[in-house]
Amino acid sequence: MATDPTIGVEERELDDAALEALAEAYATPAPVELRARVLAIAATPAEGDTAAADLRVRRARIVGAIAAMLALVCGALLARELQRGRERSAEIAALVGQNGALAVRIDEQGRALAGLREAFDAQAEVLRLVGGPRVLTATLAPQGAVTGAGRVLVDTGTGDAAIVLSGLAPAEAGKTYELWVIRGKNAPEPAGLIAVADARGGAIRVPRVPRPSEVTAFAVSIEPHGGSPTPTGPVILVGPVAG
Amino acid sequence: MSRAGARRLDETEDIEASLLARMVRGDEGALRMLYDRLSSLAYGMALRIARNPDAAQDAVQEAFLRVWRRADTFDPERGRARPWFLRLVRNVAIDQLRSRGVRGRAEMEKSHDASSDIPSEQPDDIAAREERAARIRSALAGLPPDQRRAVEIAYFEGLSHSEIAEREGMPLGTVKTRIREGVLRLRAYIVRSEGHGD
Repeated sequence: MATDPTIGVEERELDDAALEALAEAYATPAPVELRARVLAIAATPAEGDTAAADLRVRRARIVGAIAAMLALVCGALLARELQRGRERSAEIAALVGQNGALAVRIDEQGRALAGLREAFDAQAEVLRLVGGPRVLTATLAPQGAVTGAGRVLVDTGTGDAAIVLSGLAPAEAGKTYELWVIRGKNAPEPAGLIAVADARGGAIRVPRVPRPSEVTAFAVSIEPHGGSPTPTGPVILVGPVAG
Repeated sequence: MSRAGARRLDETEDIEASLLARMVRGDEGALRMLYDRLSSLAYGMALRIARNPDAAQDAVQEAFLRVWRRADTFDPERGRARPWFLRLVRNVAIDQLRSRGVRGRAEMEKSHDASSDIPSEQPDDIAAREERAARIRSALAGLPPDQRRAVEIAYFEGLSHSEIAEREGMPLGTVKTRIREGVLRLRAYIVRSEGHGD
């Protein structure tokens, strides 16, 4: 709205005064409904604003659509990554489990191998003893209701010894088999603990026997885990030295 | 101009200019106050120009719409708010009258039946307004007819001085002189009547 030029006279103030006076001369109360129409103007967007408003709405819709699309894409990517993560975690867990199982197997096999080696060594020792010129033997007979038997071999020159068992079940939990050396009427002397793997038996190396020529008999008893300095449990195998 | 008249103008100027400033900030209350203060003047002027109540309402609505949207175009350095607004109402009413292609004013003339209107003004305000209006109309009636006619054509029909001179068949200088003298007489009469009334 450009600045209007004066209407009737060139002097602005005089022209304004004339306009006001004439307006007052013809002043007429406006109809009531006109007030509502005019006051509603404030709530009506301008024609130019409509286009701008429409543009803003369109832009907002576009931005909203893009945002929604991005959210969907990001959500899908996130979901996929989460799923992959879960799958990887499961794979890792499975591998860990397998690794653990493998470790256990390896450990078991290691122990089994060690056992086999020991058994092999014991068998080799027994063979050596059996084949040796100076071997002392003692056949151990079961006592009471015990099933099983044993044979002790000792190299009298070196004291190396081994026991061959058969039919003797493994000791119960918390117990162990212990070998005793008996010299005449003296108290039995501990000669080593015997670990029985299964009833099939086999050769088991035992500690060297000092002064084997003085040994008159061998015995096996059931003792607490870790053995005992003197026999406390039942004697299950016993036998004199032969010869 | 009397001291009371000057004080009234100052008070009016302060309020209406400040209302426009508030409307720039989207203050709807300012629009409402401006309407309540100027609607009678605006409608009366529009009615005097359009000679038709419906057209007058349209012109007033359009004028307030333009003010609401472009209140920032009012420059207090160039004049007071009230005549600025009245000039806008006048221009809108004249433009709408011309756009209707009215050939004869009588074709569109339709008397305004105010009997069913419920005035939005207070009774005291109505009385004061009507009293002042009566004084001004008396002042107009007291003008020489040629001056009165020239003034009313200029302010209510929107013709330029040249167009008035052409239509009335008089020299341009005569038109300017008659309008100026008529305005001066009108102002002097109003001032005298207000001085006597204080």
